[in-house]
Amino acid sequence: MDIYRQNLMDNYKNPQNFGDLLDANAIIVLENTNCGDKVKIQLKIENEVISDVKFDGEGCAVSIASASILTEHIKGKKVSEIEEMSLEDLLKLIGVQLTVSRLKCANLGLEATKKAISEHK
Amino acid sequence: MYKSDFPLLTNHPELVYLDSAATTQKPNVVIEAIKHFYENENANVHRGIYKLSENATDLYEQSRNTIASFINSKPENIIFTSGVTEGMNMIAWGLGEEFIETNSDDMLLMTSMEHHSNLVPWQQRGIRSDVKLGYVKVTKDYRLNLKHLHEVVKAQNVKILALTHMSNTLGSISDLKQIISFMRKNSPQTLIVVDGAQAIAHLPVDVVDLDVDFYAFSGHKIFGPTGIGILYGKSYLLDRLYPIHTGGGMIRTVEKAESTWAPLPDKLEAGTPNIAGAIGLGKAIEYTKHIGIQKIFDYEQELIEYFITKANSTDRFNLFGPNNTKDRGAVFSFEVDGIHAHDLAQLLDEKNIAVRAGHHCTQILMKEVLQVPATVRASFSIYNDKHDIDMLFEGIDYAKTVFSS
Repeated sequence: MDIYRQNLMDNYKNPQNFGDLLDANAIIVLENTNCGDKVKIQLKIENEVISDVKFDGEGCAVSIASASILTEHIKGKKVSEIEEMSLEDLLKLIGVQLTVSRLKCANLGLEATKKAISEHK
Repeated sequence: MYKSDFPLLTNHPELVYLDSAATTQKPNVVIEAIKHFYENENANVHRGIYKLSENATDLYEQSRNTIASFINSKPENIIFTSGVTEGMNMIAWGLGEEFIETNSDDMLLMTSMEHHSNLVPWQQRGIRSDVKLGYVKVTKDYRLNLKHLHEVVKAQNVKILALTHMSNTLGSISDLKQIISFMRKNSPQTLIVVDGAQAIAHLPVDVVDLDVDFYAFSGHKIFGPTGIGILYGKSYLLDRLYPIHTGGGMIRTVEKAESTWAPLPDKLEAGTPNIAGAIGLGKAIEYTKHIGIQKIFDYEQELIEYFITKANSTDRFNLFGPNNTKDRGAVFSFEVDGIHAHDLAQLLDEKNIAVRAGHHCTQILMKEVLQVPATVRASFSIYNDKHDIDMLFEGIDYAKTVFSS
């Protein structure tokens, strides 16, 4: 039951910041072809700050919940902070133990976010 | 049934291993044969004049004989490879212009249910040679669409038909005999290349009766070690196959400007072969013969029947594959509504049930026919029993409760 702790399941069933961000200025769709997980990260970056974020996608509980938790975390933060964010930092936020094969699922949203930031520059 | 022959399974009594389509567990006789070889018989083959080397050569060639007779081949038609992937690459890149003419209307025909190992090499050869690529469709009931095959054969100059004996995702078994006899009549220029990776450990294979041109399988899917496999080919084709691996062991003479090749099978086995692997595979085939491949087939039919009965009475369970026992193996891809394949596999793992989740190296099939990004796959072998199936369905019930809480 470890990885399906309540926080994760809650974020999977009721993902935060899910949907379209119409005034986004940095958008990346990233796919994990091995699993079929897909996430679309939409950022609104203003004055080096992520002023708004939404995500869309389909995938396993880990990928959806991770993206949900991530978007909650990065909203209002400086771009530079997010660029330095590591997978370990994200795992701390998720707060559950993941097996090696699931790290890719957790990382998908973060990878997309970083890519969106770097392409925005 | 034969669980006690497999040390890994006795070392993990709690494990329900349902991933034999990916790789089978290894019986003690195979593990011991490899250990015995390294401890008592290790030497290079085809080289030394001393007794130890001659003995190693004997053992290596005996393995070839054992494997040859298992599929009703002659030993010289049996090439040791590292597995199906290497075997298919040897053919796809080794067939010359007389078989696949560059920049022509030739078509390399695959099927939409091919594993990537019998698809990507042909696709890449097709791109390189600038010829047509085709894919035989799969029917709604997860069989090869023979009507479509007939249409393509009529309309195209099909030079290669690359098809699987049994789908690693759907479990569907194709009637090779019928397909090949149709092809011989209607498309005599076509070479038939069969991926036997999934079939070899589960049903009798007779390459002469099938009249197949090439048949490849991997040792590790039939109780043998990884890194060893077999490519069977008809003599005239192996003779004409350009060796894509050149170097030691496969030459007759080497001059500064050119070389000549050793006779078969050496021509196609460059470098020091996987000797221990070949001996291990020989043992694995002996083990399979000892049980009897027909007996294995019959036993697995019982498992299939039991599985399908269970599946049909399980809510939200969608099977991707033939929903009956006819012409299918014990490989089952499925999804459970509302639970992503990876989540389901992980929850099953919590109950020590090992299944595969993903695209099973059949991305064309997933996109075109199944239209899902991933499925869970449970596959069975002789060491599984009905209890394992009960455990799987209990695990699925457990996953449902986790996702409904």
